[in-house]
Amino acid sequence: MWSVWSKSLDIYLGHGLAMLKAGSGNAVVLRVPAAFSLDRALSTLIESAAKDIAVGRRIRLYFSGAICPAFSIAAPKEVTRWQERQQIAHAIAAKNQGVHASEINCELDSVHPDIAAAMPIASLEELRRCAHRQGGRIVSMEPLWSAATRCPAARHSTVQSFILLEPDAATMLAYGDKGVFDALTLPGQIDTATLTAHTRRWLVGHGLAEDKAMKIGFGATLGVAMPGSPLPWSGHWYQV
Amino acid sequence: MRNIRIDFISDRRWRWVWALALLSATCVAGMYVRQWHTSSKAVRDTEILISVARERLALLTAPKEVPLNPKRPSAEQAAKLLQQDLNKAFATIENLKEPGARLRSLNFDSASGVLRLEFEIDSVAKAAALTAVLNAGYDTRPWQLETVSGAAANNAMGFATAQAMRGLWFVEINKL
Repeated sequence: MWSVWSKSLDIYLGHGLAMLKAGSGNAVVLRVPAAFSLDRALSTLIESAAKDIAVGRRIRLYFSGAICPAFSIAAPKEVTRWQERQQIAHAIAAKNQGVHASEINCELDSVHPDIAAAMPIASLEELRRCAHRQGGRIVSMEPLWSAATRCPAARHSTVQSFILLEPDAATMLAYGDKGVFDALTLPGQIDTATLTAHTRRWLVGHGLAEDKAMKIGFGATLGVAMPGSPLPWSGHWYQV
Repeated sequence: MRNIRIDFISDRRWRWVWALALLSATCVAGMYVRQWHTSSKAVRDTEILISVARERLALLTAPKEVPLNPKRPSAEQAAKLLQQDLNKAFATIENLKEPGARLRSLNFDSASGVLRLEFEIDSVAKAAALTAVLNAGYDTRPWQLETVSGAAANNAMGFATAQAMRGLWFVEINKL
């Protein structure tokens, strides 16, 4: 039990799906009603997993693309200051989610401030409180597509577009010739054929050949660990 | 593909790194201050030792006070006397050939360098003549008549014969 305490918990939260993994053990998969709020899904997941494993104190949360979609910031080139860019991203995220800008937390990638993601502040706080109630502490909250871009296979110089298929969304990222990142998340369950069509359109739109794209899928089913796949959730990645 | 890192929780590990760096910097600064304090104290101690050594050296190299010789004032006075040239005054006296004037006494005050001559003269007019004779050869007239006093001179029989007078002249030796 103490060895489990020292490890961190990886938790994936998506629409209708929540997963928990402690160390190298098998993931606990929980199908949650789509109407569940994030904190309720997290609480239910931890409580159900606590029957089999000890809950660790450090929790790393991964959001699905549907919950935390990626979007790009088309700021004028005159906008170079970080704060101005963040304000623009904030405004875009608030408009996309239909809420006031003060109600969301919008984060930009520190290296490529063209890419951003946003979450309601209330949801993030509820998740923190919920984890605290369960005896844990959240050390990381990031969209799964952000973590997936750091996989060894995506680091190859020939890869200029990264496409992640999740059970509730598909996220497409492209690094164009002009040195600007572009991002798009298509929410909803997308089958392979539809993804292929979207991918082709995406790549053509960015002037990229198909061999420049890396397509990877993430699912609840545990399979064989794919070489070069992202380190967290090993065995849950598959080639699309 | 370039990495993307978007996290809604700031990485707190950097706080530990910064805290560690701050602690290290504080330790280094503390060590530096301690070293500086130690070295400055050593410098102060060394300066004190140097000043003490200098004082001792000054004491050792200072000229020793020779105890005053009790014979020194008289020796200085003797030297002063020896340095005074009385020859001119004596030459004037020896060469003095004034009839009616006889040298009665000679008094020399070595402290003030004043020579006094007392002559017995037979008249007051002789005093003026004697003054002129004494000052012969000097433009500044160093010999001055101090006093002239008169007294009756008696012969062996008790009769008054003539009126004897005495004149006192003085001169400052260094003006001759």
